[in-house]
Amino acid sequence: MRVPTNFLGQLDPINALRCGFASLQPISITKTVRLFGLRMRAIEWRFQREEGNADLIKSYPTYVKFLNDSVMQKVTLPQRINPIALSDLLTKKAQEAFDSDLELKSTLKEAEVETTSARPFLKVINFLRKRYDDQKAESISGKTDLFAHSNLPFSFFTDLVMASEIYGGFLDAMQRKTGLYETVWLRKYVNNPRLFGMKFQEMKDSLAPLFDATQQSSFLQKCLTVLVVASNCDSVESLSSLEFVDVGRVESEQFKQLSSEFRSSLDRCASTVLSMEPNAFSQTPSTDLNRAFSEMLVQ
Amino acid sequence: MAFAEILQEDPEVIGKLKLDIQRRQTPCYISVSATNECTNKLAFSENFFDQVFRTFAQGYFDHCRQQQGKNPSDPISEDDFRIFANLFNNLRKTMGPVLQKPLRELEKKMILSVEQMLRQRVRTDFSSFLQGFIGQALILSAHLRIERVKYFVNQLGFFKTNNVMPDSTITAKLMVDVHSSTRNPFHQEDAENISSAWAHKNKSGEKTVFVSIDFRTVIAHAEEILRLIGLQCADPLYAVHYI
Repeated sequence: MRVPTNFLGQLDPINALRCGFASLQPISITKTVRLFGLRMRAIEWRFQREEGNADLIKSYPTYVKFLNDSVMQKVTLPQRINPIALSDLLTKKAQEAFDSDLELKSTLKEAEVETTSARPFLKVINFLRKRYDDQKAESISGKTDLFAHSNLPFSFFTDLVMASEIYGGFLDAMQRKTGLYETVWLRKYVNNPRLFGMKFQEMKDSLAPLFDATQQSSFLQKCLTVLVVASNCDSVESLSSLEFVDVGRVESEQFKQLSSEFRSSLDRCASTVLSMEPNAFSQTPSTDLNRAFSEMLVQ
Repeated sequence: MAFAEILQEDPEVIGKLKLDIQRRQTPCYISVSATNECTNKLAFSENFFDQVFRTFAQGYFDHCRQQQGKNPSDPISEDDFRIFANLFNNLRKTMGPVLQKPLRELEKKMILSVEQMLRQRVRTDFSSFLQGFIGQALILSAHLRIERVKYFVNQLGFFKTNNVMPDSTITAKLMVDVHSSTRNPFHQEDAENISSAWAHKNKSGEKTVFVSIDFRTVIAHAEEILRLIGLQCADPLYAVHYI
């Protein structure tokens, strides 16, 4: 058994999204075209980055490096683990995951060169939502596998699954918000660069609380998993060959503290998602265990 | 009540209560003590699954198979039912009375699932089989935590949270004077929840009914509680008729 790859700095779509679109600005290009012999005015849209920001593919590693360095500052690692080397390794893994994810890269690239429909966000979010649904079973299975190869508490895994469920809700809320802006408002103002730009900025501002909340929990999740995994390794090099994760090797006070922070951040995040999309999160799933839960929770 | 709504238990009764509340435009509250109790119950259920699945995962099954001279990674077969029976019997011995029913429910589901797999000639090893159940428990636990936020933080249910705190004198009085028996116990949590409703009634001056589906621990003591502190406790089927 090996520790699942997302423990080792796999691509984090929330960070990729934020990093990709936070600095995106629309610009309109007016062209004169001939149609049936008539001269007509056509407006095309392009999305360019604000000054100081390189394109997404170049800025993502810098962004991830910054995040990983922040994780190392927050987590107190055992002395045998060099935080700089660990941060570098995690960044390298994230970069490799991003580089090999051609499907995501091409979706992001398409959004950046979007010219006519003015829907850069929605396409990417629809893509991520589909991917989330496709990979959900695999993601759960990775967690149950780790449960079997560790003595970490069940609640730790519930936190991880909750984070994943919230990510699904985050995408639902994003879909709703961006869908509303991109299919109603931006379409309406497609011929008015001033109002188009204003609505585009308004859309980005309205999404900011959602990004803030999810990014915070994503950061704390990373801190917690780095602490757990690094505490179980003898060196940074042995990180990817872990056979068993022993909670006894993790400094308990720090584990408790980070778990509690992570849990609170998940509650805040779920609350933010629900405040933006009250219908986010499906009905209670019907599983073989509903009766067992009912026996405990409903008397 | 809150979990009955979340887990869609007894939907007819809960539905009737919701309709009564809507028709009469009566506010429905959940106290701080009750929300805390819900949070504790969630943690309690996670501990239960931790204990059960750890027992399974930590090689008990493999050990029994090795003792029978079999390979632990072979698919589950008819011979394994006896291992399951022993395993659950041992678990039953270690768990308190409150956990006996949930354990039985889990046992029924696992065994019936194995029966079905064998009937359909599906070959699964024990580890994969167990992981399927762990996955379901994780999804449901995570979902319930999100529902807790939905109902208690974002107030998206038919009840709203109420910050009134339990009155410690009333709680103490109930704990002393309510007759608790093995058949109809009365717990500190029940006393605190009822005391919170009493404090709300006292503070707001509104006619208040404490609604509960805890028949053994609360509804069974309704007359006593009414006599002691003047607060009506009622089953959701009748709650509206006390207002």
